[in-house]
Amino acid sequence: MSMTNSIRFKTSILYTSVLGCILVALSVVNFLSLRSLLFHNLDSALMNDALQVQTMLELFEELDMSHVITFDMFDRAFSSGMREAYAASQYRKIRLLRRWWEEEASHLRLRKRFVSVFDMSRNLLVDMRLNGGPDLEFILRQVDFNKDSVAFETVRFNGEKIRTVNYPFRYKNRFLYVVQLGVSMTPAFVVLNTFLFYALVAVAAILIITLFMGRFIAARVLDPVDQVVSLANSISHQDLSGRLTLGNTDAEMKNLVDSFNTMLDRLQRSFAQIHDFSSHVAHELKTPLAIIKGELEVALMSDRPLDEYKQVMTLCLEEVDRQIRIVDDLLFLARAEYRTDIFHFERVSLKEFVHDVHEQFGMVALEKGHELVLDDRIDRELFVNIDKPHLRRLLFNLLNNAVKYSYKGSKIELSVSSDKSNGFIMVKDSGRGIATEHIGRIFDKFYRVPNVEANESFSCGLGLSIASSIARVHSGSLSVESEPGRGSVFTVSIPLYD
Amino acid sequence: MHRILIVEDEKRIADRYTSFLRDQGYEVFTCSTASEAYDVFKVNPVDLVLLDINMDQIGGDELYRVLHMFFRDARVLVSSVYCIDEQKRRIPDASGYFDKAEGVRVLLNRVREVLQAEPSS
Repeated sequence: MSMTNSIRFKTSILYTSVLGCILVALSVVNFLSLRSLLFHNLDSALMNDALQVQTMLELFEELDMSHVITFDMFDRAFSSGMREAYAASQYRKIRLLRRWWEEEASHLRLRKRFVSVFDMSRNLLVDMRLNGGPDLEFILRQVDFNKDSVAFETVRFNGEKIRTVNYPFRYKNRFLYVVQLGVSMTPAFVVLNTFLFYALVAVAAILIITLFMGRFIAARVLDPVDQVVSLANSISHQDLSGRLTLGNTDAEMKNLVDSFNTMLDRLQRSFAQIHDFSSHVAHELKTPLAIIKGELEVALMSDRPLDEYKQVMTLCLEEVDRQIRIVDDLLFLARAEYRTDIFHFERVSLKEFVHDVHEQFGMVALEKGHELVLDDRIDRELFVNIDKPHLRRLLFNLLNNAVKYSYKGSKIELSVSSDKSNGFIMVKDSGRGIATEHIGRIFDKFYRVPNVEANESFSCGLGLSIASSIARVHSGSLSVESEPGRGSVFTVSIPLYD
Repeated sequence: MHRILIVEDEKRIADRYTSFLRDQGYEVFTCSTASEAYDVFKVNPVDLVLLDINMDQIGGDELYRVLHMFFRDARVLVSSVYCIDEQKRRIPDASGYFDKAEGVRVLLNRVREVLQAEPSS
């Protein structure tokens, strides 16, 4: 038995891989939810910062309200002088904004964030990198500038991912600035990678432990199998009486052992039957030979009158006939069981068939001093699919038995009946009947009811076996009911044929 | 004159052996069932039982056990169509064994052998 082909191996591999799949799936789900949680937190932190910046800008705008309104009015005016004045005021404003920003930003908790504020013409008003972030210009150049809506975006810089938010600042229904904030995603990735590493290590460790424990457990569970094997090996065909015994064992193993034992029971029974049968065959075939041999030997020992020789030869001839009959019966039984092609079925009226049998056997019965009565009162025509000569043989056999085992002058009844699907032919005698202890065995080969005085001496005990096997070939059955001293009824049941 | 009891349910064989052994100068009784044989054996001391194995109702092997229990020195020659090995398996410690197919000459020899041998105990 190769190692990979054992239940032990297959079981541990199977459940280790199932467990592996579950663990991997679990880790993937965990990883994905952790990632989405981290990214979501990142976005909301960015948004939060943006709102802080907005609050700050609102404050600034309120302080600088007059200027803005003034300059905007000028901006809508036309002179270049005014433009310059506007530019100057813008510049002042930026300076104010920056100074103000630097004062305020230190109050904000914008660590590791990049913050820049643009005006609507995309001029950078304020930019801040906190704690020495990367080149802001470069990063922000990649970020889409969107005046209208809040937008998140991930950009790549120096192999580092930066999460950014584009946040337009509106004051009194006018867009004034666009605030962009960015934060490095590296810490989130570090967390994720760490998680992934530990998850993989844990899964691998669990699987290895499971594999070893699985092999151990499977070995324990399958231990009784080895016991069964060694017990089974100890039972040989010469002695089928051995049975498997296992002490405290699991239900499945108990089932296995039980069915094994049941199989042994059946084997032992059929071996015993075969042994009985062949011993019977030998006995039945050898007895006529023993008689013939004894007769011939004695006849040849000295000279005898011719009459005595004739007597011996007649006796020998009878014994030879008896042996031929036994061999024929045995051959027939073997063929009825294994070569059903010797039967030729035809559709026959049951009533007509039984009528013929009655006519044919009536004379025989009369000669032996019995009356054969026919009862064929059936209301409809019934057809059966039968092999006529063989079914006739069956009925003759039953009728012969009836003659053999009933008292002279008694009536023998042959009758036909039916139910929905079967036709029945019954042979009823009022003879000696069969004792209960023998009735179960009369269909066995070579079984003879002991000590029964038959009207005819010889019987080899195969007649009813043959009758029963003929009934079986017709998909029917042969059954018997009997009362000692009152007689027996044999019933042949044959399926009806349309 | 030795007395022989033949226990045999096959009538032709019983008849043949009876007349043959009578011709050889033995006194012969015949029974066709085991129970009948036991009754005869109880009242008529015989020197040898010629015992068939395969009989209706009570087999020869069973009769042998009973005889052996009550009459330990009874001499029994097993006579059957079973081959000798099978006879020995069924009745292991009989005085002798005879396969009916061996014929009457062999039967006579076996009968003489068993009768000449010392009683077993």
